[in-house]
Amino acid sequence: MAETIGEMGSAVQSPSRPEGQSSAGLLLETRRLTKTFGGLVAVNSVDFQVARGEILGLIGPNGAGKTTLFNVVTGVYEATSGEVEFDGRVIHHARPSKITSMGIARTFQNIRLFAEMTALENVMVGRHCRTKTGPFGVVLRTRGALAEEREARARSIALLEYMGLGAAAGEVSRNLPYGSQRRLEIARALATDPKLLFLDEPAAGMNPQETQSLVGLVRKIRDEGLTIVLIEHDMRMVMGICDRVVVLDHGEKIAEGTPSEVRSDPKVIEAYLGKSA
Amino acid sequence: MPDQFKTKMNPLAAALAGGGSTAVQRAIIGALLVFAVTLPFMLQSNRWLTLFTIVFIYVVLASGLNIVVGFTGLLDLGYVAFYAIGGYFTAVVMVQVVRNKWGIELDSVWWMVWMNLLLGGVVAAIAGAILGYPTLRLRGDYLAIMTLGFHEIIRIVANNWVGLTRGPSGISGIPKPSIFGFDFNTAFRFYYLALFMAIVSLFVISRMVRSRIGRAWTAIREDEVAAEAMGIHTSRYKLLAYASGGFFAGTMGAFLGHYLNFIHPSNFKLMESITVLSLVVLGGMGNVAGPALGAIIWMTLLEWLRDFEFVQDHPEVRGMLMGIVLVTLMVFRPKGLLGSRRVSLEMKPGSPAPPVPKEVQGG
Amino acid sequence: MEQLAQQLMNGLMLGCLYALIAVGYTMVYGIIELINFAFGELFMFGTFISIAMMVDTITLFGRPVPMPGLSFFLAVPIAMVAVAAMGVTIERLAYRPLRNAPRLAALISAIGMSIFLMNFSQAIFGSKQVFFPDVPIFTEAGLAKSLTIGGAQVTYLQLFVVFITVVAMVALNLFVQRTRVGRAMRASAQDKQTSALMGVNVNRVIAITFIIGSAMGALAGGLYGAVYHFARPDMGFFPGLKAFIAAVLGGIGNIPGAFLGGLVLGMIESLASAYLPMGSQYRDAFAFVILILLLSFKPSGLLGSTVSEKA
Ligand SMILES: Nc1ncnc2c1ncn2[C@@H]1O[C@H](COP(=O)(O)OP(=O)(O)OP(=O)(O)O)[C@@H](O)[C@H]1O
Ligand SMILES: [Mg+2]
Repeated sequence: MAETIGEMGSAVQSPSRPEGQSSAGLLLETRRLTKTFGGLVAVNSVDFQVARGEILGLIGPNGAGKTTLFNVVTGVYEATSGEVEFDGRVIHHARPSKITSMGIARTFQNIRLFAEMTALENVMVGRHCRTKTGPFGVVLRTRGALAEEREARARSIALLEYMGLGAAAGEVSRNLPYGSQRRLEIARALATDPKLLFLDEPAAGMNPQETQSLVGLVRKIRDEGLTIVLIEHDMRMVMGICDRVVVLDHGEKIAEGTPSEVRSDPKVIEAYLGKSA
Repeated sequence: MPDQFKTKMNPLAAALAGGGSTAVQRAIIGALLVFAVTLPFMLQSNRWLTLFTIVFIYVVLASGLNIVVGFTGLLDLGYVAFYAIGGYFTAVVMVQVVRNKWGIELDSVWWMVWMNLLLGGVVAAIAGAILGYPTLRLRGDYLAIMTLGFHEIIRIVANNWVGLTRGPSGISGIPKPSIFGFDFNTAFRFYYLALFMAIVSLFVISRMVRSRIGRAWTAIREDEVAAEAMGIHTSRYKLLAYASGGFFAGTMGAFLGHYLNFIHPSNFKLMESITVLSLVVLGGMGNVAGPALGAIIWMTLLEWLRDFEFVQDHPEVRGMLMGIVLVTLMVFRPKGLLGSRRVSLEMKPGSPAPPVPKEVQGG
Repeated sequence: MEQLAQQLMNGLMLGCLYALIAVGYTMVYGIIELINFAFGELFMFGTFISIAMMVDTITLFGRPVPMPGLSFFLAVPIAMVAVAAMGVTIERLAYRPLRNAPRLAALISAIGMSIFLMNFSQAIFGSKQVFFPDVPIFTEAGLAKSLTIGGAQVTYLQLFVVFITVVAMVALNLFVQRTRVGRAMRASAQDKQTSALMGVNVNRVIAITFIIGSAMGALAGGLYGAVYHFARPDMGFFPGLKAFIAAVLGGIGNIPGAFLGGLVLGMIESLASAYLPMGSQYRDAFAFVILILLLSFKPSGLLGSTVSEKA
């Protein structure tokens, strides 16, 4: 299992941002982003900013619209109205694969691995948008095609090790334990060389030790220079790891700020207590 | 580090991930090739040579359809339409245009036959992409109906556009292939031509599958939303799957025309599509050897059944059998006979895990 | 003008038959999201069993077998019961084990079932066309038993087909809207898991859906026989596909939609084959062209209900 900084460097491609420039501005911004399903307003006119290099927590009660916000930003759903700007480019009309190649990667709340493929193949799929061999190159196995495949494989193995999955490379992902599947999703997302990583409840279903090591991993990934948006219900994890927190309720942004600011915000308390009362 | 990685894997997983040896695989393939090449010398009658020529056609059809159904997960019930397109393409070009319209002696343009084997494939591939386009947004079952519809439309057109296809009377006089005066005019020679086409097709398909393209197809099959979210332009890769599948069907359609010297709408009945589908299902979707094996077992069985008088009197027995096999397989062994043996989706399944290159480690 | 009226009448009747078969497709798809390709074959068995009940002897497996020679009005209900039994059996054997399998597997199983039934009926009844006996009340007095509506010759039989279809559709709709079982059906179509939690016996609901769909298919089969006077093992193929297209046209899962879709499809087919050049040769292609256009431009069907992958 790879633990050293040097190995991590081999796995996570750090985006071309020099260290110490994290305040250089916004990486992602949504403007009055709205998504409705029939009559239901799942995301309601949300203005949402992500600064470069931060770990942003996105919290809110069940059904608040967190996942839907992810889905709209990553292009899985088309926005009903509003805009999304990523890294200076407007992306809300682009298809998901285009958005991924621009530098947003994600995991899914209800794990969506390619069940019948091995862990290594799953991660290599993540390399797809950074490779380009076409049908002829593939059939003729040109030198370029072979080199590209070797590189993809090496990077994918390094990423698996980075996520502590080196031993599972050849395992069909359906057979992996739950915690490993969650980490594999992160490895697959990292393989796309993202600038921004969306994690949708990555600790769901993990035991405390697994959660603890996940926290370490998320920090390490950020330290490689990535920006992370994290949906999580485990408040201890959110409060411990996030630089900033945004709270959604009924599709609307009701609060944002540092973890401690948000924790004491009466609106947030009401949203959670009102839910459980 | 790579060593540690290897020792921690169980042997099977290692083999699948590409760390194991493929010596056994290679040996099996080699033995099969030797067997296929020497077979004609062991057979007494042309009957079996003809049978295996047909079997090879189905090997290619099943393997081509496997790209679409088995790897990409798109249920195409109209695959034989592309077979028809290839067959009619060469028939119309050679007989209707070159001979009848331009009055050119077909012997003098023998090279066109070979060109048409390829062009038939290309035309069918283009048709595959065009017909695939409107289906891109559809989910599996609508796709099935739609492809079925395409098949029926093409068959109905073949039956009714008499000026082009001669309708129900079919087009005869399609020349046999020949090369620099060497004629493919015996069962023996056709056997080798078909074998050659099957080997080349399997080789190409196998290489396409063990690559980023095969991984993209499989990812689409496993979870289209996740595949798109991981950066795969799913529409493009679906069209590529249709086109690739169509190519092999078109090539074999053209081959069929030159083999039979005759093309007729009844060569391309819906039942053919279902037959090819059942070959894919039988051998196992999502692995390269499965459909080929399915074709060899099943077509040999079906052809062999023809020898029985009872089956000659009751051709429906074959159809009933096919229906039962499809249902039973889906219920009890949905991954087919070879189902558990999945193909590695990497380019060099035989090579050990390469060490991580230095420059990547440094980064 | 008279020809137009005549074609509309023909289209109306054809559309009714499509609509009856479409009911099964639309209800089953609404609940288990499966195209039961075998409904076309169940329709075919409906025609064959009706014939078997109406004649004195029939050839089964190449042997003459004495038959009761019942009236049409008794034979068709018997066929409906028999085919409904076939329908539930098929569901039990070929689909229920695959309820949680990938859709592709269930769909292939459905195709296998359809192929099996088609060939099985050929084994039973032979490959040749079997004559559907005249129904005396509709034929005895010949043209006297018809009337002219807006220039079109309309036989009592045609009126009967339309009448029965309307009655069946209205009854079915009431059943689904008003009864407990009907509510359970609608709940299952909405959300199987939740319905199961709420105490709905989903297996039973699905079985009932197959019973209704198969019986309606058989009814269509009996009427089809009375109109066109034949039965053949492959006769179910096109009507089955077209009925499914009708169901998609009306918005899948939607019973009034199936009726509307059937009528629209029947009319278009009838008019197009009469008025387009070479129309009658291409008559079986129109439905597919309509399907392709529909799925490309309005995939939710005429009366709504979504079919696209996302959402
Ligand atoms: N595809 C969809 N179709 C219809 N409604 C949807 C769809 N996806 C989400 N919704 C609805 O939108 C609302 C927001 O859902 P979302 O999944 O975004 O919530 P969430 O904040 O992620 O909740 P959780 O914490 O439970 O994951 C919910 O009411 C949900 O039912
Ligand atoms: Mg969520």
